[in-house]
Amino acid sequence: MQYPSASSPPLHHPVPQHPVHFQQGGYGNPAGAAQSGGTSRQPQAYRNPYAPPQGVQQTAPQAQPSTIQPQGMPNVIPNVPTALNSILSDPNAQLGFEVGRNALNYGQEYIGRNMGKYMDAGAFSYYFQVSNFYVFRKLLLVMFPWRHKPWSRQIVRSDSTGQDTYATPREDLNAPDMYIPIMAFTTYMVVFSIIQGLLGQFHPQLLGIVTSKSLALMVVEISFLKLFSYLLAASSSLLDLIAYSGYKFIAITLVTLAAATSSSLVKWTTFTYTGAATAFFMLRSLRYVLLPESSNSTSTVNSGMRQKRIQFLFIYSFVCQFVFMWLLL
Amino acid sequence: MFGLGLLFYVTILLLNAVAILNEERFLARLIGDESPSFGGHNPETIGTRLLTLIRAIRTVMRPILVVFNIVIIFYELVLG
Repeated sequence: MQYPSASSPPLHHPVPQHPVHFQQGGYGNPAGAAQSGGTSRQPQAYRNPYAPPQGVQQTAPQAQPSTIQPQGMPNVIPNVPTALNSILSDPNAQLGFEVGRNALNYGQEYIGRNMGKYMDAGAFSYYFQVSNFYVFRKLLLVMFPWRHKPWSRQIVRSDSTGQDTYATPREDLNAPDMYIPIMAFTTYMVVFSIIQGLLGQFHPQLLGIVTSKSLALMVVEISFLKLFSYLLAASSSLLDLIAYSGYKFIAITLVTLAAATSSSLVKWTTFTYTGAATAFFMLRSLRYVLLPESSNSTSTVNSGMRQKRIQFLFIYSFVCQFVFMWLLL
Repeated sequence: MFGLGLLFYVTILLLNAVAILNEERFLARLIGDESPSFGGHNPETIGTRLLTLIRAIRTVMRPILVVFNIVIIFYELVLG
């Protein structure tokens, strides 16, 4: 919006529509008429033998795009230095430079704003605000979730905007984070590779295969969860779901270690316990996604829908968790 | 081995399956006679939401699916 309206005067000013005695009339032309024809008509006007030198001096410096100048200049050789000097010092040219700079800044600002809309860095940085203490307690919580009491997320009111937001993981143990899932995922890859290496079966392709398989299963699980939260009319943040679905890599890492070091019985015992712990953790944590507090949303969640949500939550947490963990092993 | 590539194929095939569902013969019978009423007071059930989702997929994904199917068919013919 800003660019064409501000830049049009320097563009249509210098265009000579006719021989010299009509030049005054040419200035009064409507804005749109001269813009497109300006570049093609200018050399014609320069070749006009009746054009006086000062007429050229008037028109040449005001020509906005500098590429036009070399075409028109050879006919008016004595005026070249003055024309070039006056281009740089001319207020219209300065205005043009200023407008160009403004347009560039505006464009950059526009791109930055729209990038922010799709890739919200603030939304991601929320999930990485962790502390050592939080990570330690969260790992304990995922493995021993049985006695933990308050599972609801804390809500803080920010002073600047006055909006209610969830407290960061640093302050709230129940908040989802992405640090632990990503680290657990990486650890699982490393542990798996080391065990394969100790068995003498490691191959670099194995890394890619396992990563691809794990990511694909996670995508399946998250889309399953997202689909059902849509069908059950529950609003769920995709990033939350990604974070929660990654916590089971802690359990998978432990099971992989147990399988490598001990007998089959120990492996399946570990699998059962860690799977149950993760499932219980998911059941409690996803409760606020699928079954929001009645004070939060008084909207139409009838009892039948609520019943279905509870059933889905139970089936997802226990059945699906075990199935996906078994597939990931 | 199940991986991201296979997941892509599975996704495309499932979307194809949704996109070729026939409105009159299948979907109307699946839900019963519930025409999409705007501003209606009928409560949102899983069935109506599923129907909305299927209609949305059919509307949005059809041209994209045509392109992807053609690309995959050529890929499988030449390199598969």
